[in-house]
Amino acid sequence: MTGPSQSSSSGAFAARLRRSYIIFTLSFVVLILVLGWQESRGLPSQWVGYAFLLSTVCLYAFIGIICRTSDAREYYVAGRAVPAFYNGMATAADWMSVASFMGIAGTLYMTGYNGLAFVMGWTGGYVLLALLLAPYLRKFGQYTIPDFMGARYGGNMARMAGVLCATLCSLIYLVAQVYGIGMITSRLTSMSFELGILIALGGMLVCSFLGGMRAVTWTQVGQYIIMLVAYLVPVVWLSVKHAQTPVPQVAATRMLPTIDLLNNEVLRDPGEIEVRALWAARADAMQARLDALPQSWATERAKMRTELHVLQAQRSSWVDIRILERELANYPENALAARDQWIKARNTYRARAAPPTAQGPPFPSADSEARALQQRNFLALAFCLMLGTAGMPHILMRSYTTRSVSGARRSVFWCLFFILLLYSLTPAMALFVKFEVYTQLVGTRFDELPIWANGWSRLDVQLLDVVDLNRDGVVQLAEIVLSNDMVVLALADVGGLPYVVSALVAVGALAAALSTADGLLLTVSNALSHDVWFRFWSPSMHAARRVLISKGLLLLVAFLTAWGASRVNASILALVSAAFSFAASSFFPALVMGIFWKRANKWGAISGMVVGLTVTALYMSLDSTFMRHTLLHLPLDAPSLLWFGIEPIAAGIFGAPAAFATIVVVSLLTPRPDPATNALVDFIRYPGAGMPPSTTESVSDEWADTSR
Amino acid sequence: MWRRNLIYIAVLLSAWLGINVGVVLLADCFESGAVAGRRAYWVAAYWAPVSYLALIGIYLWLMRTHRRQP
Repeated sequence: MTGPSQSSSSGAFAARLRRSYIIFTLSFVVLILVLGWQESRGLPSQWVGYAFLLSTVCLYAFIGIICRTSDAREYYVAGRAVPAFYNGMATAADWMSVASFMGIAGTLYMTGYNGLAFVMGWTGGYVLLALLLAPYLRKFGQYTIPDFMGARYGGNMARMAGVLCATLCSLIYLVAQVYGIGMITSRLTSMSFELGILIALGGMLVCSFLGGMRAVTWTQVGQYIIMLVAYLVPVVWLSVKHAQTPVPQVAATRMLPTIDLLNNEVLRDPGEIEVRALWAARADAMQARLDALPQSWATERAKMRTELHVLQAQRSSWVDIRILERELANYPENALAARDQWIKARNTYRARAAPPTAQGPPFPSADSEARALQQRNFLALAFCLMLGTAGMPHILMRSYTTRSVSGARRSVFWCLFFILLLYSLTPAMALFVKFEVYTQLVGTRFDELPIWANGWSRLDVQLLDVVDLNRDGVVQLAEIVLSNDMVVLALADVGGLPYVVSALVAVGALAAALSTADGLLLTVSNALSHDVWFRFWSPSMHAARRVLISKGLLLLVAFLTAWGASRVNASILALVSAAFSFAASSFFPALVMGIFWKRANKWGAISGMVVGLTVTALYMSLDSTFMRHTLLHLPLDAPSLLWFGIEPIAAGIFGAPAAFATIVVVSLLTPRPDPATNALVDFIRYPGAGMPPSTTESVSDEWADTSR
Repeated sequence: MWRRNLIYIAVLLSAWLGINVGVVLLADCFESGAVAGRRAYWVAAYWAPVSYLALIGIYLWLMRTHRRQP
């Protein structure tokens, strides 16, 4: 219960917060209006980008400076004083990664109904979080998730297993965020990818380095506001433009049948049919090469060399010779590498030859078997993401920052509410971009392409590639490749909105990447400093020194991640999905069993996490060349190894049940947990329960720390 | 007290499971308008996530009512 003086002080605090964030929102809106006005008066778009980037990064740094702290409780858990409403908003920002902000609309654009597995998966997990984990972690009331593992399962081994899992899930996710930051800053200011990463990292570090969780929480609330404005402005604008209503969801409902009609019209266009046939021919040629492996590897290379000699002898065009020379330089080193490269090429050509996915109908396929497979994959991905959501350590950590157990529950409610505010706009975004592409780009002559199309192609052909395959001078849908990540970033450009709106969207995406990266950085550095350094190596360390070490580790992890991101060669969505699969198969089973099954013990939890992670990692690599050829010695043309046809993106759906089963079996085969552990579980389960009897060193240490 | 909490959780998780599986298995019925005349796309995009929020809201309400009881 809060006393009268405490509740009046918390009321004053809430009023101060409300006032601060209203001023923050108004200032941001004024900034947009001023930059928009300046743009209309001739300010170059690059300057608009710089102004947006600098002002927001400086703002984050400013919050970091005013929230700086060396107090362990403030640094690790924001003093456990964040009201549920603001904690929900900060968690929503923590959650809205660059994959959520940019990837969902892009996936919906590409895959229609099937992409909704991401929307359902990333929202349905919050039910698990609210019902099964958040209130109990808050009742436990420590600093990190490995803390819970150490106390509940006893000893450093369980804690270290927790540290390893937290670091693995968070680092993979962090690399994806930092990669996204580099992409956005280079788009916003035209600077190099690596420089963009360094500048954004600077802003992020000033915030988390100086103020830890306290600074990160209040920055994330501001970042959520920026994300919401960045989503709302272009979507509402386009909604009014296309459907004369400011409610994007209503506009999208009206436009869905039109888009499916346009889709059908495009499919009947002779030019479109011709281009798709050309892609199909290329896919067949690639398949013929694959069928003739390993001989085709040598014959194709010899053919290309002969062709090059002929071109050189005929003194053909310099461009043609250079293209062939480059192809030869990139020619696969051996038959194995050729298999990988040619399978990729064949799949790309097949995808481009296939008719575009209709936006509305679920599981579109003429074949009932393929339809059933799509249904299975939809369910598997949605459940995998749900379990992963409930097991992501940077989201679980936010349960510690609320004032009370009920506050932790309310915080999850507000978090999902704020996430839904943004997610409910993504289907509309996907539909608006699709409508613009179908009506503005398809059918245009190549020499009359819009400026934005040329601009994005020049920046990176992987983002947008338009190629005249049938050389008729007219753009067909099958001649356009639009990257998933492009859909949101290009929304304003495609819709013909001013550059200031484009920059606003990029700043929103940057806020999404930075907010998640901040949370992940803290998760990793706190796990290393608190659980490894303090709990394991130096338990007598002073709190201030612990914070100092955490800050040092934070710097180290940030730079290592930046280095990793500059070398990564995977899509953001693939990295993020891997992180969710690992979280689903490691933390989620161990935490849930720790709370709901008293018989679960250390050996069960550790072996469950190991088995869960191993099954997930193995399934992810099941179709890779290394696994198939080097380990399993399968022939090159052996069929796919996937179980029930489930794609590796949902690998956690196999890892999680394996982990649950292992925890049960191993726990039953090994000794029961001691009475102190049972008392701890009772304490966590009952809201009014007092401290448990501290009979083990580990547990007593935890509670002593809580009371400080 | 713990038992009642478990019952709440079991009921709400069953509803959650029913929503997830139902959205996928009944997609054709939604699409044809046989169920509530809605399109499958909108059910999965808007109604499923909103129902998750409602489930959490119901749990909050149940726990608050539960705490007030003597």
